[in-house]
Amino acid sequence: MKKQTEKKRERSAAGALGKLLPVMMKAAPVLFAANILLSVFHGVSFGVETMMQQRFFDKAVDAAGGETGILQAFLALAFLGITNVACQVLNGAANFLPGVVEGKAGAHLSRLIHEKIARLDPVVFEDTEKLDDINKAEQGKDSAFWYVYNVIAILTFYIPYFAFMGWYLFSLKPILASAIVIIFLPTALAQLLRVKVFAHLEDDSAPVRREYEYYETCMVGREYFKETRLLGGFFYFKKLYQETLVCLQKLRFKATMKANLFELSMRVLTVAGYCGILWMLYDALMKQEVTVGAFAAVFNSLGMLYSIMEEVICRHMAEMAQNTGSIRNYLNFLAMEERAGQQREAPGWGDIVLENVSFSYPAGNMEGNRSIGKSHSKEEKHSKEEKHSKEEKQFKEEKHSKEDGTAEPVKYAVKNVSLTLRKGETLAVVGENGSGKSTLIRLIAGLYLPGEGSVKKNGVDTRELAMGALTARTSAVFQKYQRYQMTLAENISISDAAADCGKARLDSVCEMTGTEAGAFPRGYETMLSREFDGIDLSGGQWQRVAIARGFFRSHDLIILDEPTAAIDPYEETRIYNRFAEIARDKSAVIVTHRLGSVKLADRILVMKDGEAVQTGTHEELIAREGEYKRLYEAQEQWYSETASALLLPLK
Amino acid sequence: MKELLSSDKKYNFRDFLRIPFTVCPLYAGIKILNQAVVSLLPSLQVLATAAFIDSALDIFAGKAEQAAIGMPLLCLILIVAYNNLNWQLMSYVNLKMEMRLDFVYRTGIAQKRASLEYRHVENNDTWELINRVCADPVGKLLGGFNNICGIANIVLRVGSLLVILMAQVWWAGLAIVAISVPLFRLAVKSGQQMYEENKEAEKHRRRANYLKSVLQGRENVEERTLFGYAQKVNRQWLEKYEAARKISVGVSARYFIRLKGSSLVTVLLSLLIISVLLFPLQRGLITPGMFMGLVTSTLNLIQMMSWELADTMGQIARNLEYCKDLTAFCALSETQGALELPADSSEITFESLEFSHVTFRYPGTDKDILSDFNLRLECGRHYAFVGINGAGKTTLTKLLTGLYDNYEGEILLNGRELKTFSQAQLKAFFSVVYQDFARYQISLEDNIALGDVLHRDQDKIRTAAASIGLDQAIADLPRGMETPLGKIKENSVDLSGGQWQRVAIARALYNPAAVQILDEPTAALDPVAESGIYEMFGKISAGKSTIFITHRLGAARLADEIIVVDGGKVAEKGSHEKLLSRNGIYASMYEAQRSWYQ
Repeated sequence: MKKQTEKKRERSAAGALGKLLPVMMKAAPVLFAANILLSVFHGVSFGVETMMQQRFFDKAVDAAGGETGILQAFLALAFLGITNVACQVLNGAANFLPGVVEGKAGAHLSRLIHEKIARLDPVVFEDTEKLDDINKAEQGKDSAFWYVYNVIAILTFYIPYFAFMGWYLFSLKPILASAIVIIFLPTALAQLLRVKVFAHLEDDSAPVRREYEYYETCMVGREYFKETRLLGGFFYFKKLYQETLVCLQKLRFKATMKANLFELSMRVLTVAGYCGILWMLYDALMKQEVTVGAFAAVFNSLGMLYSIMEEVICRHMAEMAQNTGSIRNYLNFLAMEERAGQQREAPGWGDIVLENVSFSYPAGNMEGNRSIGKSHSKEEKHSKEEKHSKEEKQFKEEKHSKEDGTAEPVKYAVKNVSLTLRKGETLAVVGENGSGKSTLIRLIAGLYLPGEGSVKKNGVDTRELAMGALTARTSAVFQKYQRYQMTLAENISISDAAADCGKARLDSVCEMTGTEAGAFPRGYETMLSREFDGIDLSGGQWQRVAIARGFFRSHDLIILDEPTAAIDPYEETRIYNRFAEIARDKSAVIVTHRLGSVKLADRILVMKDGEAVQTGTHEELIAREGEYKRLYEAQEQWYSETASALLLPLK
Repeated sequence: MKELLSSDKKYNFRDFLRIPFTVCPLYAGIKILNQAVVSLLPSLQVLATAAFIDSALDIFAGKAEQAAIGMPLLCLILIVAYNNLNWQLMSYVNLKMEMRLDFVYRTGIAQKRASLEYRHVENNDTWELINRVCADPVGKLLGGFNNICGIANIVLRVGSLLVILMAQVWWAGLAIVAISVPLFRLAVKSGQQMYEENKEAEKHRRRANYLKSVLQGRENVEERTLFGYAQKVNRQWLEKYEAARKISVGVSARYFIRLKGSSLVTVLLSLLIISVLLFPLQRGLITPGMFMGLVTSTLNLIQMMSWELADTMGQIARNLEYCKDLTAFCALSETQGALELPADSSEITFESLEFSHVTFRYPGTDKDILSDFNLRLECGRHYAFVGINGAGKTTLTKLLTGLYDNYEGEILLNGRELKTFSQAQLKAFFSVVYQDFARYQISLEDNIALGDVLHRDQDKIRTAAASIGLDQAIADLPRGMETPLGKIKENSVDLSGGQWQRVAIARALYNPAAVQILDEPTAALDPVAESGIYEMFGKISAGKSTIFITHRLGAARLADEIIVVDGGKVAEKGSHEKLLSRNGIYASMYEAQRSWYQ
């Protein structure tokens, strides 16, 4: 499946900057430049303010002593005022702009992500490692923005501010410049240690916290509510809940107290530094090397120096360090391989030929049968991976070496299937759960490319086709159909962006699937989501909408993957009959485990453990011993008159 | 706990103080005291700086000894030290307070939530409210508490600086009061306005986020790829994103203009006050040290009027919203005895269950789910409820188990109205395996034991598990029945969907309740497997009263009597053979289904 060996794509932070900066500058070039310029002035303005304060204090003291006129003091006050005003304006602008730039750059970066995802091979969504990159790309995008932003802020705001203050203090008395170092050292040291200590502490309590929150869910979560109540299980879970809470609090207390002791000692260091600077100032004042005004102004600015130093080291730099992981996700995502196919023109309608097709899901995905659940949480993936590694041990004998030398078990979801779907034919695919039916139809649809062997549409290999060309004129109703929180019209017409969404066309597919738009409060414009002020549909209604969606797309080939499980038997019969009617002059594939429905098909393909074990018509297959006959008889017993004897013991 | 969360109380800002003071008065008191000290520090620092500078000038002028500066210097050092250390020193109190509240307040909220009438859980609006109130309740409570501290802090700080200033120039203080009252109000108003405007942007943002999930999600990768709608949806997303962004930029621009506008007003006022102070300084009415102190303090006002004021006031709107939510949450009605343990089932015998002219609709809807429903069920028989989706089969179980009691007509259990039974008694009468049965991520043994919380009998648990075919699964688990299931605990093992189903059914088998209901727990299985499970269950629970709910008729044949529910009424009932021969709804449904398997 993998054409090249997967190299571990570690990227350095500097590399990230080089890649990200141009993208962001492109998103909002003028704002970006304005932002940089402002930032420098903003940084320096804080320093100038301290200087102006000193000048003013000096003049005021001089005026009080009668050494100079009061006018000079007023002049100095005017300068102080101007600096203050400028400082406030710059501060406002400098805090406002980043949000604007982020919004603009965010739109650009998100669009890039969406476009990239659309070009990916659908199978990467089955690869846990890559899925992680995809899921975290969006978050990574934000991290990436703030990463670049922080670098720029450090260069254009913090460094100019500290440089100015350093120069200013140096000009008062050279030794005073060392204050900057005295402020920097304990802050940096504290942060360095904090990362080491804190990271470790959080790990200890996380699993207990998860357990604690879970027991709360057992008491009050929607999915547990009625059952816990009926069982009278509240106090059972409350006990567990409070026991884990006590345990969690003990852990947290221990951890926080340890961390606090450490923070406190760091703070004592800071206070010592503060006192040291105060002593230097005091010393300089007493030796009359600096003026009283300078003493007051510098002393006033110490708080600001400390808090800005903390801001840059504890917030910005720490954030940058924390986010490197998700930035890496983002960069990996951007570098992900896309579906390659060259030919952009769709092949005409014709036979679809599968030759010795084999397919296995990427490592990290245990089974071809995917979970229906919507959420794919971290834990879930985690446990899948663990299971997978167990699986690996079991299947040791099946291991064989890959090109890159690492041994991996290969579990084929589809194994060596050859098949011709003739133009206009209706094919039924039957088999038990996990026999590879769903994977096979994805190969036929062109969503997946075969690992071995080939799938040819009207003579063109699916590997050579670009995604658009490959899926043109193919439609499907998947088992895991989507419930779009959009209007009814959008829910149906989303399958064909090019088609006209006129009422006539919508009406015809709705009629076919038993969806009565007239019964919806606002007809086709009804929003199908409570969350967006619309209505909720039942499972059966949704399924009909999904089928209408499949039919709406103009197609030569349509695939139905057991789309009627939630529909009652009347409706189901009707839909299958209509389906057979429409499919008569198209190519069609129906996946089902209700063997009665295969009568509609021209031919039946029986799957077992990923292999095509039987093909033929119903009559042919039922006449032979084999998988089909076995499945058929198992189902029939529940509905045949002769089998009543089976049920007797109950009565 | 009752005093903390009372159903007829209107919660307001005071409760952010009241609740912590009720739960942990000592810690809350220390916190408030510390806040008061901290807010006085800037004023003390002004005084200390003034004393320090004046002493220094006196020493230069030869008016004082070198030692005179010792005291002010020490004060300065103490102020700096307290300023820097108080947060760490207080963190012990903070943590203790949070822990105490977690234990009392959060548990109380959870208990209230668990006692709610079930309709609030099924109603999306109240469920959203419940989720809002219950997400990090302690964090929100402390947020309000700290907000109050923050406001008090600003008032105290401004107030104490004013006192110092007014002692020197009486009208300066008045001028500051005159200007800061409107600024305060502006800050409060702009905080509220921002909250409202952000809500508007939030609507677009939510839509944009949804569309984004369509573009990025794993679950729709197939349709997205096949239907190729990414480009179109991307355009829609951008539209919504931009709409939200433009509102946000506007909001933020106005916020900064107001914020910095206030700062500029304060700057001008400070300049005025400072320039006026120059005259008494020149005339020697105030010392240079005091002058510098006053200048510093007026300049500090600028800082305060900027970020801190806006931040603190901005939080008020959010916290008030929480008060509203909390009031509404506490007012939600509870089910009496919702949390009770089941009554002892050995003292309860089931004789009959009769529905008499029962009509029911879900609260807030206008469609009758059951209308004039009449039916009598006897002890010791197997019943199957069949019917199309939405016919009202599942609703029946909700009525029986007391989740809803707003029906008309009568439901008679052993001849007595159902509503007169306590929750505990109902719990002893019925057990239900729901379609969406719970997968408790605790050990397999505990999962089954939950079926009978009053008695624990390991042998019976083992028997229940074995009889539904779980013995092999147990043998495969690393720690047997004690293995934690799911993903929550370390070393836990997750089961397959089918195995979870069996665990849920084993729980029902272990349950001593007189009437056992299976509400399509097997819908995800193929029909053959489903019928198999029902058959097995029927055999094991022979002699008990059972109700199967299903829309697959193959399994319904197992029952002694089949009840066809249609349009909220009993349409047909009788044995399989009898119903087939009637040639009614059942017969045609059966034929329709049969055709899919034959």
